[in-house]
Amino acid sequence: MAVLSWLEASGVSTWVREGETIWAYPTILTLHTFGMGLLVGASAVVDLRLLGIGRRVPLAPLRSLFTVAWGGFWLNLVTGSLLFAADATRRGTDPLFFTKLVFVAIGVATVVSIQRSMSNAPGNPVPGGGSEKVMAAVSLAAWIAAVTSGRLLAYVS
Amino acid sequence: MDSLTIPHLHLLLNHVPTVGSVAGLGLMLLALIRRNDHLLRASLEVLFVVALATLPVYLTGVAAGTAIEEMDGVAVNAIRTHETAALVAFIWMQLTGLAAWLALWQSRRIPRPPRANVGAVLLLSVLTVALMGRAATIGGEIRHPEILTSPAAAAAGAPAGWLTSGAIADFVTQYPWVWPAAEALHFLGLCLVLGVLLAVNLRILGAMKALPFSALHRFLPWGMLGFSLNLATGMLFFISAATQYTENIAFLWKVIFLALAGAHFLYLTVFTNTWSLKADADAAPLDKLVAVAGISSWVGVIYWGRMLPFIGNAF
Amino acid sequence: MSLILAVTLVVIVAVALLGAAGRWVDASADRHEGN
Repeated sequence: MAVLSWLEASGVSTWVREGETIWAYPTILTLHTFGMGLLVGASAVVDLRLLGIGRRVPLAPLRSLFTVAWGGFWLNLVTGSLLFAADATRRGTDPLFFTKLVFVAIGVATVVSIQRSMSNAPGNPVPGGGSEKVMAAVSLAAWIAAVTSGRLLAYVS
Repeated sequence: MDSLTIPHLHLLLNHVPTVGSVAGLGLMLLALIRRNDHLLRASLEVLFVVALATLPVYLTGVAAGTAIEEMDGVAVNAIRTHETAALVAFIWMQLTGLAAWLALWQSRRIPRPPRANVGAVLLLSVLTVALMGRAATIGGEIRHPEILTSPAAAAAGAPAGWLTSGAIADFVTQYPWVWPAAEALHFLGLCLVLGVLLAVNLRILGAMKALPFSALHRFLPWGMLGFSLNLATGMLFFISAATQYTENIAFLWKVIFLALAGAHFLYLTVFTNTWSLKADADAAPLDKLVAVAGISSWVGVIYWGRMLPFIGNAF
Repeated sequence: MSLILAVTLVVIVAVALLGAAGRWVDASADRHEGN
């Protein structure tokens, strides 16, 4: 609790929260939205392919999309940390926020797993592989849950 | 341009869905009679573009209604009735545009647009033309007493029924979960659109070279689904809280970028220079420029959308 | 809490409908190509 208060009172956090400039909270929030779009969007395209959309499209070249996804992830780790710090005492004790983090963690885990399995089978379309389909479904569900719980933070907390 | 007020803009733009839907339908009928595939595709493209353009028409209409309702000689109830009729017509126009887009997407990979799909567009556009005509006629009664056929209509109270802006606004107020749910869906739709459009445009820019463009073209319907979801949720936001958008400069910019993005979407769907991009082929510099513009338009949509609470009102 | 539940349900239903629509379009593309 003390850590959270310290975090929230820090110079950076105060600037994010109270800086009367568009470059503070609004910009950081907008970048966070972009990061979400990149991460969830790129991941979704791969997931859809694994679930059988456009099943004759070769899988391996889609690996480039992971670059986009990871770019979004790092952007959101940074912007998310700033957003958290600016409101640390509230978010740090909020079950809904932790729920969001759990879903993000699951989503990241699925992205890592899918990326690994795709680099092991270059050029081959997934042969209707059960485990890849399950992983893609879990990935989509986790990201949908993460985005939803993230949006709900504005209403519930 | 200073004298071009919002009501004036609405009066200019409202010719697009009325005349445009008739033109699109007419072109389609001509195409079917002449059994001409090029004309058929052209009619589908016209209907899609008209559907896109109908969005700012509705939006300026709501703003115009607010602007003129205090004026002398204005039949206020006619404004409400017109708005309701316009909303219905708008919805069917969008469904027509969606069906037209689908036919255009399909006709990339088969010799001609699927018959069932074209039939659906035909029926939908006939209905749309009728509904647009009805909305336009009622609209005329707002300020044109010379065409008023039944004074009773203008004197009648606000329209009842569930598909009125009043009913929708009440629904949102009554059930607190509606707005947050719509927002969550709006963000999910954003992710889907950005993901698909980024993937498609990145191929043009040189990523995923092992794939032909046609492989990524296959994913476009998912982008369109995201776009449609966001159009629907966006309309819910607008209808239930119109003034927070019509008085917001950020919203104007968002709609402008949406129009660009929509046009670019059509370009990706039907243009031959991108479709014919084979595996390992490099796109022409101009095509790459257009791809960058396309990505930028979506960046613009997201930026202005996210900035709505900050730029329009607070700062 | 009921807000979270309601929103979750709406999102699940909407995503399911969206997914079904997308799958249908994709399948129709396969059909037309004769796959």
